[in-house]
Amino acid sequence: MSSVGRLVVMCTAAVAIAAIGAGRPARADKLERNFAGSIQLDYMAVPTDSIGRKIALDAATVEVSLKVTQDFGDNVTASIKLCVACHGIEAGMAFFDLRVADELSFRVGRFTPQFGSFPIRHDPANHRTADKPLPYDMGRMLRFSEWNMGILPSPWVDNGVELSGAHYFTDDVRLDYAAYAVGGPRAAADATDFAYKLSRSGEAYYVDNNSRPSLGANAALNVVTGKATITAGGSGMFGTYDPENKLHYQIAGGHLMLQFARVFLRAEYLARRTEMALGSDPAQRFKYGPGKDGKYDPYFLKQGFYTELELPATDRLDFILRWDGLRRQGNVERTSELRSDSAVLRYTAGASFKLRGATRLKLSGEFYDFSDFSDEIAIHLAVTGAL
Amino acid sequence: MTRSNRRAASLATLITALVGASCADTPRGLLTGAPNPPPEVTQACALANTKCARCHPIDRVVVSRGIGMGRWQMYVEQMRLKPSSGISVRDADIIFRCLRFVEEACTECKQGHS
Repeated sequence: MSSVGRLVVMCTAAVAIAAIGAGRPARADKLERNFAGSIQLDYMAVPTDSIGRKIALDAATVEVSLKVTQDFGDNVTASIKLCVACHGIEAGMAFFDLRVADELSFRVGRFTPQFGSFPIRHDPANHRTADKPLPYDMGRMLRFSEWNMGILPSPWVDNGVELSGAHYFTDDVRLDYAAYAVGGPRAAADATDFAYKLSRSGEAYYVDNNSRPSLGANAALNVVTGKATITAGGSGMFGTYDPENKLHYQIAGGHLMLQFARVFLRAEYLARRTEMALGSDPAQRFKYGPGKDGKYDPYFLKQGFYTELELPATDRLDFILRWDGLRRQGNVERTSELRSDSAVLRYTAGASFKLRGATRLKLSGEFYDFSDFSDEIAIHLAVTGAL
Repeated sequence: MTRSNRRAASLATLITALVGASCADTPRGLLTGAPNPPPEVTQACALANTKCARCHPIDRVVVSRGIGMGRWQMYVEQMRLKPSSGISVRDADIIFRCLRFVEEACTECKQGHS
């Protein structure tokens, strides 16, 4: 990003901080603190493999989140969320929100920037399956190392500043928007894809790796008509991800949600274009040779989608059907087991049964159809509870 | 009709039946365990059930009973402002009306506990 861009980011942050400091002192003594949390213990079996661990993080995993929110009057809120998952304890949230009006709110700190529709429901107590849709997978999919997970693993937690708001055209038509600057994804020098471990490694420090923030935006239109609600939106994010600030990426997404009474149909599409370092000897590094023009294409395109139908059968029982997939097009390193055009489709059928209070039992079966590997089946059995 | 077509037709019939059942059934949701709510509260809670379920199961609300009116008001406002919540200012008032009844009707809830 240019120095002008950096200046804009710094000014936005300064305005947000100053505005927080100026937040209505008359109500500053009205403090409200809330605690919320969730736990999920998920057991994943891969019956098509004798040792599922060779292709997945199978067996039992636990996801815990503990969140405290404190209101400082009507306009300023601080939120802190502690998460425990496969990679240990992390700060999933640590930010201030300043609400100037419905149309203008600032968020500064560590948070999940707005992108698409699923991340707002990423907490396992908020969605009906034990795992996430493939575009947002964070290591629970089969062959996750070969695929390097999804397109934008959720929750994507990063340091930065976000501007957001909602405008009501009428009571039934509303536009939501957000624009943000965050540290962005990371990788080592001469990388060919994101290295997610560097985003959560104390060794690499929890700071931007290239002194250039990634920028992004999200907008969605909500229309309520009788028993139905329709939400349609688009998102984008771009920046560089290597320490030398040379390798670019762009992510775009679109989402659609139809709600009729208690039935939900959700669909999202994400695409990421990522620049790879060709290195000094691309012929040795990559599996495929140069194009017709004699040049190596430094980009690959990764696309993903999901569509899911959520059907509450009774007060206690919900059914869910999901179809999702990933496709990767472009050159790959010699060591990769993927090809220049690889795909995976997954078919999921599941149910979520309310046990007691906010405790649920989730059961789902998944069929993976890989273009480069043998087909696989995964079965999830999870207990999820909200605190 | 081929075997795969028959399977697809059966699946489509099952999904249609489930969609029909989901739309026709009016669940108790937030009013589970609440004694004889007045009609306007039943209506308010039907809206709350629908709106809240966009982002999370309604159980998350039920389990929080006992937090007090001030915090419910704060929660409703925060949820209204969540992206794509689909909650209008008018909806927020109606949802709060439901939650006030749910909070007051919960006899085993003490302030700060559910």
